[in-house]
Amino acid sequence: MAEKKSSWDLAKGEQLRLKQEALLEEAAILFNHKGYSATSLEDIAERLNITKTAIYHYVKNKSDLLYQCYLRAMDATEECYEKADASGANGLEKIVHYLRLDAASGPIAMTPLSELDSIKNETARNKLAARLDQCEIQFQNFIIEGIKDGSIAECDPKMTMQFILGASRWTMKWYSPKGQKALSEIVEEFLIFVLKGLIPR
Amino acid sequence: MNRGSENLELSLDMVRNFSKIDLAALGKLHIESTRPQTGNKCMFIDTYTAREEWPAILREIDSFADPKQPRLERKRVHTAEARFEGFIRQCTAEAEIADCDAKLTDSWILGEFSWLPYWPRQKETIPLSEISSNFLISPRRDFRHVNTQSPKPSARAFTLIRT
Repeated sequence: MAEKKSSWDLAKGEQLRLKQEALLEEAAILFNHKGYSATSLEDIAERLNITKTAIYHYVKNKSDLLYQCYLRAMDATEECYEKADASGANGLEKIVHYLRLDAASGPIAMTPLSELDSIKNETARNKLAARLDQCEIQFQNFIIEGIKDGSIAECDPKMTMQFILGASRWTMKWYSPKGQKALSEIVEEFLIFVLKGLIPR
Repeated sequence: MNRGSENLELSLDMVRNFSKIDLAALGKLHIESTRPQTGNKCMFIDTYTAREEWPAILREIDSFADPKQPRLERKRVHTAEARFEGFIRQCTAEAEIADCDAKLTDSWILGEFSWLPYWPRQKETIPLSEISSNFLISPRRDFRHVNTQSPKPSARAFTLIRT
């Protein structure tokens, strides 16, 4: 019979999880802003006020750290898609819900998706690429659904997906949690940009 | 000077030349994206995006071996982006586009283009020129199905400027 964990053990586990979350979030921000190759483990450690050695307690190396960031980001992204799919009444609503949920996930979901090739383990890399492709297909499906149910104007679903996700993902390149606008405010303006475009009103 | 820097330099030259052309700001934003570049009429976005190296530089600007280089390159990129933002402000002032946060709009439009090199990784690729053309349409249309008079995407391809 498994030994029951004490409250001390549980607290320790929670502390470990929070620290790992902080590490992944800081790494995701730096990878986004500086690029993977220009970001060192020392840079990340400095931002967290810890030593580089402490990072090795959580990850094997920088590539593993990127992989962990990706895993976390993919989990968060897939969850956003599932929730959006379940809560949106039509294709357009699902897209709006998805973009809001994605922004609400914060910087952790903002892993630099263009850095996939930097993950050295080929099997892990291919698995992540497949999950990422599936998410992009899901976004296209929301658009197709919207065209069918009449909530979205006729358009090329694939290119429209590229247009929206491209703009949305680049946000992580310039977004700063210390900036003037919160991510939630930025996403509301982004929704206006996407939904109404720049058409004079 | 490495190839990336050369392209950046060329792009900035294009921007300088392009901003001298007497055109409505929106015209500056969109013209001739899918046509061959002709002299000064070469378009800013086209210049900005047709070269895959530039978005790559934007991502990896901190990776230059010379420690002074990133600061220098970032300053030049900011200059180009500020010009683009200026075009958007001008568009708003001329009521060619809706009132918007010029800085955010600038980031999103350029962001779409900066993300272009990522898409060919997909199995079914679309030529970059086609994607680029579509990206120029998208900000000028209502995504929601409320404008029943909207022409189909193919017919809208060159109607970015309000007629």
